[in-house]
Amino acid sequence: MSAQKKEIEQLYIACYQQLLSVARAMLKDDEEASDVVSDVFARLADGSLVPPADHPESYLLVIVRHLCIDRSRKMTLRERIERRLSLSESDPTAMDNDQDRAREMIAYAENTFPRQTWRVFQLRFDDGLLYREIAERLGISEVAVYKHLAEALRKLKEKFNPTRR
Amino acid sequence: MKEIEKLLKMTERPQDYSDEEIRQMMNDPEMRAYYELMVSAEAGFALKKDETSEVAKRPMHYAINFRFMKAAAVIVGILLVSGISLAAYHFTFGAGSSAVEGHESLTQEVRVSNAHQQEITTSDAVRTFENTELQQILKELSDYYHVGVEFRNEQSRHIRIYTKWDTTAPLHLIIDRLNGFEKVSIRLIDNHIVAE
Repeated sequence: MSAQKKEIEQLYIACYQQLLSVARAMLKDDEEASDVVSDVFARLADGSLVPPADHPESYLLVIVRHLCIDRSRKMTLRERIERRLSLSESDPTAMDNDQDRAREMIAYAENTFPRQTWRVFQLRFDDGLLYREIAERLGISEVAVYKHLAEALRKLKEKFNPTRR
Repeated sequence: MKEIEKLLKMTERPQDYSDEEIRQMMNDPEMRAYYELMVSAEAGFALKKDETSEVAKRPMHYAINFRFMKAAAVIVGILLVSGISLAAYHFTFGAGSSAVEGHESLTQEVRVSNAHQQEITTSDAVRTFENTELQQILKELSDYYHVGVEFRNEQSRHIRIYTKWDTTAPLHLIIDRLNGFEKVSIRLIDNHIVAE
């Protein structure tokens, strides 16, 4: 086997899953995420992408992020809302900060929200349940679900106002 | 109805709202801020989940020299079948003893990779094969549908594929889908899956 091919294979095995995970998080679509990561490896294979000798995995990560941003930019507003993608202009270099902030937000919510509000918040944004399903699960009205979520978002906005980023 | 409740409803059922209504809602800085918080909340939960999964535990450390990268010898085929993207990676080998060494190395690496991937991609009805060799896929189909497998072309065993298998679908549909790959040619003959 040639050295080049072996290097690509090693890179593929070492990085594929994590790159896919990043693309999934950014695009919220499994098939499209696979397309992006496949595209990166196709470019490696045809020589149009040449990673640096040091830390090629970081280079691929940035490329994947750029490709995902490009795809997001081509989406309509409705498409972005449907997938619940950010409407802000993404900066690949600031994404690690955004992730830290998102982690901090969940920890804050878990530690400060009233128990029922936290449960509603979790069922909606972690488990992805519909409002009706949350209401059924917790034995409360759908109106109460909206109230809990509205309260949760207000508290988050006080602490983590995205417009002040 | 309060605007924030309207926003919550809109994010659950955007199809109930016109483009203009969506645009107006998102032009309101306060609603937009709430929307971005929802996006961040989902991202935060997803990160938390990822960090406890096997994918995140697996380090992406990598130390190789890419001085030979330009002359890559990998054939990559990316196809679109029924709106679903499929990618097939077929590593070709040169002649002679080095080809045999390469073949063994590839097989070994794929085995490690697959053991990991199976753990994280299997769901109840849909099985996702990621970077999986055709021989492994056909083996699973064979066990599941109780048919034999025959490879008439040994090289086709090592074609790597990304695809999803709906285990509730009949075998002939699965074979049709696999035949969508450029490098794959499979037929069902006398209760045997024959790969050529």
